[in-house]
Amino acid sequence: MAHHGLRLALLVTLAPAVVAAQQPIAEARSADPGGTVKISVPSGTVRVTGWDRDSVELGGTIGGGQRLEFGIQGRETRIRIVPVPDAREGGASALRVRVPRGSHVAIRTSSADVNVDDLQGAVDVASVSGSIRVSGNARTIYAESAAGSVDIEAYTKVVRAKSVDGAVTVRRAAGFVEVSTVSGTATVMGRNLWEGQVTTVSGDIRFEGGFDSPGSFRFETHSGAIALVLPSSVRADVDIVAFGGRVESDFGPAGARAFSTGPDGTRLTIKSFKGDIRIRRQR
Amino acid sequence: MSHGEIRERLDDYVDGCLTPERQAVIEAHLADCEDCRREVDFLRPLLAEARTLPPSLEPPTDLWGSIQQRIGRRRVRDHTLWSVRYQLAAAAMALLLLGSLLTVLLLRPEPVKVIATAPAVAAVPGFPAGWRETEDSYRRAAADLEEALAGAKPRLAPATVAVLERNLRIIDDAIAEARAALAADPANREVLEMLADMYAKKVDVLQQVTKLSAVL
Repeated sequence: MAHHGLRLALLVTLAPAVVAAQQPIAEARSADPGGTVKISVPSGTVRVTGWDRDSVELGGTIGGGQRLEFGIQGRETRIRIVPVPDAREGGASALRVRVPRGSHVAIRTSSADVNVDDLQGAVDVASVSGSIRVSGNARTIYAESAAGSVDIEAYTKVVRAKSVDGAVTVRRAAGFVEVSTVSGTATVMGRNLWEGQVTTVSGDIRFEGGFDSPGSFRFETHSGAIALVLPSSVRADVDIVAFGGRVESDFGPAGARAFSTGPDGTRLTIKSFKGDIRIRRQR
Repeated sequence: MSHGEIRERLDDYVDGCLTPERQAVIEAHLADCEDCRREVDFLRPLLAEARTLPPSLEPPTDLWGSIQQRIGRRRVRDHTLWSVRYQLAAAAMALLLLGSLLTVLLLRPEPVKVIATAPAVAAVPGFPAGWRETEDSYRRAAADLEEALAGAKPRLAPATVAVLERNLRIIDDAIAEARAALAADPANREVLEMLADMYAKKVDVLQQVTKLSAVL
């Protein structure tokens, strides 16, 4: 009985707008500047941008056979594109959403590509096969796609980016970084990194950046190549584990698998089962 | 330095990792540039807050609670999400257990001969004691998740399923290679660790995909 009441309240609050064919939308609602915005779009594209107003503005088009739910409950704004019951097919939507810059934003898609820019709150994006791009200065970024690529360029202290098949790129990283993919290329560029890991199975690993010692960082792959470019002044305790691949390093004694480049350094663990490992000095 | 160059270095300025000379140049610029002062005001609390974060990465905070609950309520009726959640929880618990098992295994000074009954995987002479149980646990966790994923496949595009299956084969091949290397050199704890990492990767990928496929 309580569930019936809740469902009714949600239906009234969300006031769905049924769209028969691909149609433009233009709606806006007041929103908490530090609230949460949850967006769910099956296919198409989603672009979310932060702005300095206390409102959420929605534009773009909704795919045929889809309907929009756009509602606010307390500090939470919900935007959902859902199929119309018995619709023959679900067309792709193209959503443009502007949200208060300090919002926490969570986006879920099936195949829709996601682009997030200029937010200062937490960003959490998950997609089955869509690609994900995040830029700006979000507080934290969690982004994962199973079959799509993940591309982050943001001065953010906590980044967690994962894919299975796609490339994962994190630029301007600082603080904590976790990057994972199976066969895609994992690329991390940043400064003042404290702790993190970059792992693949067959994908290559590329890293260029410096560390805020002391901390720890792990690079691990099974068969991908690992290429690290580190500052000449890097302070690190390096531990290399390699079985089949070649190891070349501009740092440490020739052929050494464990060495230190300075006191109180970052603990760097570099592991590859059969891929090559190259550690170069930044020029 | 130009405004743009200074802007690029503001994060380092806030981090306090510039040379005293550059620090002074930026402070002089900040005295005249309100835009950069605002950027510094934004970065300072961010850095302070980030410094208080725990030293290890945690799974993402679930910002999706109430929607998931709604999805959950709907799917509990057809037992789909409950199965997924149960399997995810079981796999997570298995991973915790595996972490402990592996630690014990790696810290154990000398291999001890253990007679196990009904192993799920072929025993390899010379493998570290306890490894067979650990490997069985990984395989069970992966099998639970593969079952959940099989249920989710009708909701996924055929191309996505093909991509996932190809990547799972890549992981399985890596596991087979690491396992063969361990069989050839059973005392090599680095190979053992890499094999365990590959199993963990497989479970992690299966968890990730199962979770993603249940989202919409």
